Amino acid sequence: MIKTRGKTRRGLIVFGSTFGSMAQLARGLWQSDSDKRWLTPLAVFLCVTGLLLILGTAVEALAPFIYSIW
Amino acid sequence: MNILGISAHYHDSAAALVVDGVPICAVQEERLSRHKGDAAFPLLAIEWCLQNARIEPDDLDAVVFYERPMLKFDRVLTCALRAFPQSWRAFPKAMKNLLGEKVWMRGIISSQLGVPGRKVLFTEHHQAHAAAAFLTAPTRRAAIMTADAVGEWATLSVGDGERGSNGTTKIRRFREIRFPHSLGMLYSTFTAYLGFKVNEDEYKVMGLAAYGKPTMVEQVRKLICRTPDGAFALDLSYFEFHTTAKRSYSPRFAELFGPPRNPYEPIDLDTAEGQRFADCAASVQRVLEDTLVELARTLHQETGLADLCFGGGVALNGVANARLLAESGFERIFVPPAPGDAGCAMGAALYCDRIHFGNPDRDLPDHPFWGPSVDGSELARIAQEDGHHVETLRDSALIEQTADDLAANRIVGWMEGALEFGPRALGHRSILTAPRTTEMRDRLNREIKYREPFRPFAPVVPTDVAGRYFDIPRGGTRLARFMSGVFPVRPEWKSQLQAITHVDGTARVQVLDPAMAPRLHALLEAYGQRTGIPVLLNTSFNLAGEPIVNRAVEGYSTFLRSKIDVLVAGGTRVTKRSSAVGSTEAERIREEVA
Repeated sequence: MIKTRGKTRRGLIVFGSTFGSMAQLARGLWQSDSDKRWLTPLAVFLCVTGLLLILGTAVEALAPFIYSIW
Repeated sequence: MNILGISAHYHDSAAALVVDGVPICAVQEERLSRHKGDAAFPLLAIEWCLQNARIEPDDLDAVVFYERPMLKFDRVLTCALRAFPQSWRAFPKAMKNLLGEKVWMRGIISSQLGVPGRKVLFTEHHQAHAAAAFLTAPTRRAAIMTADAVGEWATLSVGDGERGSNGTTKIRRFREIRFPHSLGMLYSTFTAYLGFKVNEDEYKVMGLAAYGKPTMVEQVRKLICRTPDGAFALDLSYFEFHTTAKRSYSPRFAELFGPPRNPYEPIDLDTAEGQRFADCAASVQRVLEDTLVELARTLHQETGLADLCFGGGVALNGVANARLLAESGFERIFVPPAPGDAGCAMGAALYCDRIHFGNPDRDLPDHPFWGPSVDGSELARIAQEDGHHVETLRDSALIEQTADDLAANRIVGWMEGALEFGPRALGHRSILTAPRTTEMRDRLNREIKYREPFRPFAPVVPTDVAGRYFDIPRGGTRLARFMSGVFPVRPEWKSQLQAITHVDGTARVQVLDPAMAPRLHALLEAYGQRTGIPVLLNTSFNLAGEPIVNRAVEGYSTFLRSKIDVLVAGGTRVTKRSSAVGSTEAERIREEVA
């Protein structure tokens, strides 16, 4: 039986896992043979943006502060 | 070792469970959620798989996702930047779509199932397609070709696979064609142009193609050209799918082929406009087939192998598959029952088992029935509550009775055993009826399926007599096992198989081995004894816009909302109150038919 977790808990688990995924993406782009190194800062920036979106969705109390960035 | 495979977030999400190297169960989310083409994270499918195998999420050794989300993100980002400034409108949406959820699959799987992140693994999309096609096929060595719209970067790949005598498994990729150059996207663009739903209605284009002539092949060839290395490239000035999510084709495309079809207007094949759309469909179908045949022929020459395993959404094109068999040089072509994205759930799990963990190769059951089983007693209970005529019969009596119904031109909803995995109803969730007259086809279209009149119905026939009614070439039986090939109906039988003979004289035939679905096989034989032709029309048990039924209650609901005459689930037979056929009536029919 799959245990049901709250939205916040799930969001925080996803948030916690993002750093590894981001590092993987950055490493992949940096080492890519098709010369995509220049994409790395943009990709990381976008990922950080996505990360804030997740945080805003998961922890609703933080949402006004996060959305005020934009 | 317990490995869960997941496909999700594009279309047709699914879950499959492999235990000690053998699939135990697999189901598409849409069959449980009842939303056609459900792309959501397949929590219901996962839950059912775990319950069915009686294991907890903690017991899973690995959970494998069917693509690498970060590689996909790389593709979306790169393509958006390449297409700038045309892509500026689509870019924020694409980023929000991906970064708000889809790229963080490790965390999502971990949070939903409670498994540690280290147990979450990824395969490449086309690796999952290749594994689904090769590892489920009863062959030791084969060439492998996969083709779909797009995975991460790859849209088409070729390679080979080998299951060694020492239990090792190898799947090699020789080369791939990358986005935006995609046969799947080419076909989908025409699907959109012809007013059908992309990623869902491509089979309608294939059905429509039979009504047209390939008069626009030269125009289609302007869109796709062969490259000196044997691959192909799309002329992107005719497309917009790579720059916007709104439209697949550019104004230049519409200039070349004329105004697109209004999706809300039916196709009238008696008008010049309707015929133009049919010709368009026939032309793109011809170009798709030609391209696939050339690619497969090269692969055959390169590998010298007799078998080809073909996966990916393009492998659902039965007309192209039949041409591949006839012209590529391969003797047998294996297309799995779920060659599309749903099947990647099983492919990813098998790939992880054999390649990532290096577990020994196993022969796998060669059938498509991996889903939940139907409960006939559930049907008996609810139908009795509603006052319908319910009988619970032994197998032999039920088959005789159903054969009588079919011989009397009744339409039968047929549910038995485990649900099929994949888009085809292969005899466990089928609507069956006599294939003799066009009236029956029209009645099905009008009263039950509520669908376009140009779409054909498929037949099912026992393997041993299939060659009598259909012109199935050597090796075609394998292709027809999961309804993956379109073959000509023999001219002498066309007049007696009108409901399943398409306008071009072909049929997407399913040949049935008794071992695969014994009850349906027995039913075909019983029906054959009554009518002299053991062929039935077999169409999926659903109404337009709904997924194929799963549980007895869903079959019952479909039965009540349509003009299906008889519903069979397990050993239970139900007829509607108003049209209940008692045993006396059945006897009269038997006499009439005799």
